[in-house]
Amino acid sequence: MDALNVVPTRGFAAAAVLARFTAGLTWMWMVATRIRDDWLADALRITGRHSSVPGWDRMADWLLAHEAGAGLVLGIIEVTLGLALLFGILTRWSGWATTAYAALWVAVFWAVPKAGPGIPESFPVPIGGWPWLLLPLVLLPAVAAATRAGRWGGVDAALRRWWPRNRIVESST
Amino acid sequence: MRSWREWALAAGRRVRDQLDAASPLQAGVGVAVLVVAARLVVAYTWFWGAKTKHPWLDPPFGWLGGWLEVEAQYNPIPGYPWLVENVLLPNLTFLGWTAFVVESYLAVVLVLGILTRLNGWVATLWGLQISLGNLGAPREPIWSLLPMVVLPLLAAEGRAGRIWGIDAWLREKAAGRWWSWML
Repeated sequence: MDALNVVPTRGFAAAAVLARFTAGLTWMWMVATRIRDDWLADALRITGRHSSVPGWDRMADWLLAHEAGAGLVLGIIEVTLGLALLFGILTRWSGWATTAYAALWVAVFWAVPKAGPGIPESFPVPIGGWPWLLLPLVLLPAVAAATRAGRWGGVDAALRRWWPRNRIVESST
Repeated sequence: MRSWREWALAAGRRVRDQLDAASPLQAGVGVAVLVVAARLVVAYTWFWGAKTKHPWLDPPFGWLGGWLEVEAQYNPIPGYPWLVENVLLPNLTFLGWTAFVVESYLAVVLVLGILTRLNGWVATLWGLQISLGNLGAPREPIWSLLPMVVLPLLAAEGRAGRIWGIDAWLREKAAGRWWSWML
């Protein structure tokens, strides 16, 4: 098992912190541009038509019918995850939660072509057909969670100082 | 009044102390698997890059020329549009071959895990220059550019080639040699 241990250097710690920031920034960007450009309906129409996830076409229709509520719920989820990762709050939990949430969207977008019927030229999110673009959405928060990257310059560092023996702090940071 | 140099040194020391104080770094098997995944995603990225703009396409180098024109139109960095129009586009053949060679090289060495710290840093710098060029371009949001820098950095500093890579075998040979830092 020794061969599977990453060398815990300062450089690796800095890279893990960058992974945390990038993952947090990503979801804050999604919310901010959805508010600015209102692209949720386009995303739902595009994925409803092209996604290979079984049942997503019906789910997308349902979400479209409740677009305002869906936008609000998704926005709350994404702001919560984004801020938690940006500020390094309970990073083990928020990182894995972001990984799971991103994995859902990556699965939905995976088979969607970059261009095609119903995909507007101006659609702001570069989409499917590019695994190298989608995989980091899952990988980066997973790295943040697995390395407990909030311990470096994040709120988690302070939590661990204030409550060193607290079970919740211990398992989530 | 502290000089800017003293201020920068103090800021650097604070960052270093904070990184040191963060130990014990969680770096077990799970992290190792993720670091190898980062290495493979970066390798795939540049395999895709080389495959879609190689010299034998029609037109040669595929979308590279057209994309440089987009960069020149949208990039906010002062002087970059001039650089594209006056240096890069007139020398597209040289640039295209350079990109093809570098990206093919990165794909091969990263998938095999050869001298991964050195090559991971090369990939980080390559990703950085591409990200800077793509700044401001439509459908190139910042979150799609940052992973091109962060993932190879994770592979490099996580020494990802030592895990399921040629570096695991090279490690013994490199012990005590000047080039041991490369893996």
